[in-house]
Amino acid sequence: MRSFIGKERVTITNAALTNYIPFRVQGEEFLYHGLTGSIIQLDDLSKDMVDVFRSKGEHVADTTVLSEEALLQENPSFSRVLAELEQLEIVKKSDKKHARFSATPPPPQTTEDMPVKTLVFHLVNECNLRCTYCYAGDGEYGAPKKYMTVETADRAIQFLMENSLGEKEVNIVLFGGEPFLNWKTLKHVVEQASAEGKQRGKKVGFSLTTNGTRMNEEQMAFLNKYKVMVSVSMDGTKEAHDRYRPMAGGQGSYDRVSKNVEKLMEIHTAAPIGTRVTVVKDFEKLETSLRHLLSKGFYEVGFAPVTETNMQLALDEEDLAELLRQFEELSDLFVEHALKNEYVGFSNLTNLLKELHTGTNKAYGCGAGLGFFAVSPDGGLFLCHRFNEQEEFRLGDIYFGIDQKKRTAMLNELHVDHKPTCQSCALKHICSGGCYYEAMERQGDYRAPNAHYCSWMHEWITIGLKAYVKILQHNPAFLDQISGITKERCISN
Amino acid sequence: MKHLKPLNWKGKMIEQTVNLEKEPEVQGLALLPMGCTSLFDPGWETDFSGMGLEGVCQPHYRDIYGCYGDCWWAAQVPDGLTNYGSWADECPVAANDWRKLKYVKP
Repeated sequence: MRSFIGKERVTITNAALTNYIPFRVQGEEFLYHGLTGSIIQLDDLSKDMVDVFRSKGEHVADTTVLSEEALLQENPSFSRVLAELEQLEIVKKSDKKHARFSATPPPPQTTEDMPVKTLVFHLVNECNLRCTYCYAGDGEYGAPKKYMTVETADRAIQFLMENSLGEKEVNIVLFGGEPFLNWKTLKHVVEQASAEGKQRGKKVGFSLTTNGTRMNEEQMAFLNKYKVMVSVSMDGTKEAHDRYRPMAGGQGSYDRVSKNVEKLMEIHTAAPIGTRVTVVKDFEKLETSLRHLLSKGFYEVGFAPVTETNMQLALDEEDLAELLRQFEELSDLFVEHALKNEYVGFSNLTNLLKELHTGTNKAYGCGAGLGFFAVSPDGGLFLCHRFNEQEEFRLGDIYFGIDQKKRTAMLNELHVDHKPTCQSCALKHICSGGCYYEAMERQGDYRAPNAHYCSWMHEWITIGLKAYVKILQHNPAFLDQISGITKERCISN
Repeated sequence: MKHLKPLNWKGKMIEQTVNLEKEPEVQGLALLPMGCTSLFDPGWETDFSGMGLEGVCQPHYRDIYGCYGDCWWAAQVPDGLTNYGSWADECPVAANDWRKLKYVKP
């Protein structure tokens, strides 16, 4: 057969070392391959070959192309490494296109059969805080003071139950504004959805994001009873917290939140309680915030850079470099404890390690529009909570269902293969272009990749890779433990 | 893998899959239509040259089953009708079960 397809013809075969990040830990060489999600340890020969690629090849982002002939001229033994890299689909030759492990999952052709797994309930478009950096504009999303009624909530529960199709586990996110401002509906949602789930054989998980200013003991006991996962937004010590998180009347909110959190830790013992720090220009030292918040009893602390166009608040390049330096410090602390089998609740790293361990292969930055939707107080369905009340991102409503045509079209244009700069990037399947809302705010187009974070993400993931290898070498069971559960969940509030 | 050592769960999974794979035992023949192209006739795959040169004439599996099956022969081969009516009973799908044909090789 071969003689029929012209194998004997002399052709130049190019070998492409695709979408990779090389890194070094304690004198040993490693390679992360972003398309397959593999983390590989290199021996001396393969390390030499990667070096030849890097010094002689043509680079496009994280991909390097070199002719096979030139490569083998350097050292004929490279052919053995090349064969192995080709088998693992890390190297691709120009005449081979078939990909099994490295392929990007295609956009869905139809979305009718895709279950809704997580629904964010905007219980109220209002907030009693006036956080300077809030993307929801004081919680109102430009649609002032709308409360979700019990009737609407019932319909939304029905919608979730029906549209989750055969899913046995669904999630409800209790969100706002500040969800406690609509306690009546909140309580109803939890009770009703639990009962409904039981009837239909579905397990309903609840999570709640709150500013922590409005909880009484009875409410805390209720959350405990239903094992609601609570995340309280706090920015660190009193000084850091009060700077950007004032009450509507102007006074700081720290004392109030702090007192409530203390009580919450006593009463709510059924599920771990986490906290979220918004990182704004001139931020407090992260280790100070982390230690302060962990001492309050929080299980985990997540740090999220503010989404802002106002450069008075947004992080500029210098701030981002400092953030990275401090993330590295916290990662070292995390590793130090992980080797003693102790857990430091730095959730940014935990989440990254989980993804590196399982070898995530995503075509989308998050689950928005796939299995994740937000419902506004009047029952509109939106791409995600951050796009709440924005008509362009309305994907139907809970009464007439999802606008499948718009959903398919939107998923098609949000697919990572439509982001040209992502194609040769090592983070193609782990970042997948990032958050759509960030893209809209900072790049002016929700379909654009988060270009403002590209180099930052590369460095952060390299920090994560190094931490991963260090833990793997001395306490591999730790990685299995933290990777036990992988849930589709939005990682930015 | 001699030179590369996959470390994480995903890398190990890929390595395992690759290691499990052998050279293909059977190859479909697309370039040279011989006989009925709409059916799988056992025997082509044993001619790896793909040119019908090895084991001339056709491999015996193909010779006999191609005629017996529903390809083009007007009637079954005589032995299937008289002495060995059940020779192909364990071969419901030729593409999978051709090894189970019961006949004495020439």
